[in-house]
Amino acid sequence: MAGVRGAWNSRFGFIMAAVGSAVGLGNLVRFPRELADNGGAAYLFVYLLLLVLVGLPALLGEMSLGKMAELSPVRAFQKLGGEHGKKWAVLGVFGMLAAMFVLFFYIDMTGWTLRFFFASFWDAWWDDPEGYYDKIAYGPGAILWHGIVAAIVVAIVARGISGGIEKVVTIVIPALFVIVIGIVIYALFQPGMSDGYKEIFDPDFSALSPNNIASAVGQVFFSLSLGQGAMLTYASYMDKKQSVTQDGTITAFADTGVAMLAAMMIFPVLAFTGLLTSPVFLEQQSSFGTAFIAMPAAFVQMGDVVGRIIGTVFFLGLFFAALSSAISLLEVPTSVLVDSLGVVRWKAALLLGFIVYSFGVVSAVNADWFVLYDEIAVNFFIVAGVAFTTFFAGWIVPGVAKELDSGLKSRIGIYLVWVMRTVTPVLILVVFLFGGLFGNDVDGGIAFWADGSCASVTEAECEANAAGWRELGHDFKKAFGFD
Amino acid sequence: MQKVDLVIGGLGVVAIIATTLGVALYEEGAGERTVRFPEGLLHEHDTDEAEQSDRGAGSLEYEKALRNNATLMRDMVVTFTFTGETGVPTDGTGSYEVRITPPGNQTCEGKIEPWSEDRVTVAVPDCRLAQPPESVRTTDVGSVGQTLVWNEDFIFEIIITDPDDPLAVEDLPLGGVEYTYDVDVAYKEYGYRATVEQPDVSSR
Repeated sequence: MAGVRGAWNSRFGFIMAAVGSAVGLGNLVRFPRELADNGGAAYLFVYLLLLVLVGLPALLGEMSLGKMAELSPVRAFQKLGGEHGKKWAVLGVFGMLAAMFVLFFYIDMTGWTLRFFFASFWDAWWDDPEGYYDKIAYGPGAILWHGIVAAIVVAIVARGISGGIEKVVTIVIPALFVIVIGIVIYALFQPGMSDGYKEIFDPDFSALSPNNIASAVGQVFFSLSLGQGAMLTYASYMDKKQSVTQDGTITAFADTGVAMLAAMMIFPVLAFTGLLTSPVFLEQQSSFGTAFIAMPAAFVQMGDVVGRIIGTVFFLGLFFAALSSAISLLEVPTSVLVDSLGVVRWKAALLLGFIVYSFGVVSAVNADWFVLYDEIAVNFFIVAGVAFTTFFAGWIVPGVAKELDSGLKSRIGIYLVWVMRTVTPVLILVVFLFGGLFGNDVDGGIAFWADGSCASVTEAECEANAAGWRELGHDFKKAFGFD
Repeated sequence: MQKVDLVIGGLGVVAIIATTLGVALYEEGAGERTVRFPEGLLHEHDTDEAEQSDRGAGSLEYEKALRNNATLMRDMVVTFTFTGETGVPTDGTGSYEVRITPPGNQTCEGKIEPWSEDRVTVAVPDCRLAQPPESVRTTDVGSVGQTLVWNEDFIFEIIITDPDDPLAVEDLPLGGVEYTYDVDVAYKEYGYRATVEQPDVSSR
């Protein structure tokens, strides 16, 4: 039937889907590095504060809109926007475009995790732990796995909310928890693992700089899958009796919980395998380097049997995390086509799958496009999406506070709306202003990127040398064929 | 057939074309890199040179930067301490000059200090490369994860100019007086490690 909406079979199904949407590679690998590099427990304290003050209200606001409207982003804004609904509908487009731009490279990235998992069975990364990623990340092989994952995601979304998405997430998300907790427990009994805990838990408040705090704000927003329409869309399939506040809070803390467990998995493993102080890990400045270069090297150190088993389930866990996020992202534009144009679900999923696949091919062969998609998605669409959604929920739509109180004995909706109106917009502005620094972490000194931009801990030094060193960056660009 | 079916068909063709182009145009190594140049302290050096004796003016090449990717020499301090019985030349016209020669035919500002006391400290201005060394201008880029290094020397040169001595006899400077001094050179080498690495994602 054309344009038929689905619904979650159970509350558990919705929570698993929402957690799956929020939990991704960033939780499993990026957050642990952020934690270790930016002051350990000090960073965690700030992160949790921001989660409660900013992330949670924004998440609950977005979910409220979805549940109240029972429609996907564009139609939801239109319906809830009253007499000016058609103008507000444009805001919903930002979330949809954010989801699509993320998908362009995210499917590709999910392909890496799936390939690593299967490669475990023929020792591909085992034989060359530090070099295998380099061989498979880009190229015809990457296109193939990109296509496989795109097909999987399309097939799941095409089968609908309860018949497709819910069936998958109620298996993969609990499995992910089991995998992560299992490795955490195994690591607890290994000698030398405590250094890993020191890395992530020793508080260092001096490491908290304005940049780091701004980065934490961004991490909260992006980790909770805000601004991309995913949470709004998933909430639109909620049962009326469900409480947005309860389920949204569970989602937010489960998302952070997974990130913390991942930190307790990654760093102790690196510690007891001796890689914590090794250049193999220290040289990896990115999440991908940690996940696909340092961790395989760590698994090899664990021995033939244990290392293979743990490595295999680790990559399976990465795949599950990435897959559940990709599903939620494709669901956003799919639901828009279903709700707005009455397109049959499987046709909408297939149509969008082709679009996402085609754009994603570019990022499967060229890292610059990979980064470009991410930058467009994050620095523009997601930031705008979070801003618009929170503004809409806080200032435009009546009844959000009531929706937030629904199913609860206490009346906290009004306070949450107050935060959406005041605190959240300020911090969104902070994220926007500092947005160019995200993903370009500077480990002291002056760093010049392929685009010749300059980021420095010492601003005066950077200014004094910017011209000369931009030239350096440009010279290197030419040397490496960027120009 | 509905319009949406035509759109799906068309997009399917686009996907095939995209795949073909992707495979055909893929260049191994193309666009794989974000090059980072984090500048950090490579090495702190503090050498206590052996006692030197000198009868007259001369220049001494003391030290070279030996670390990879040195692009900045900073906090450079050269300390001269006169020892020996002859003490310090007191007429004030002698001097120490510290010259820093960075690699690649570039120049840096040195420093001259007069002989004035029995212990003279020369603080040399920081010397930073204005351009990358010639040796790194290469198209031979290795695989992702490789750290490119260069090994170019900064040369310390210490030039000692004797004081004028009206009593000096040609070919016998300083009237034959021999001065003895210790030289201590301290500096910090900073450098860039040009690391070719994968991009990261800031979201999710």
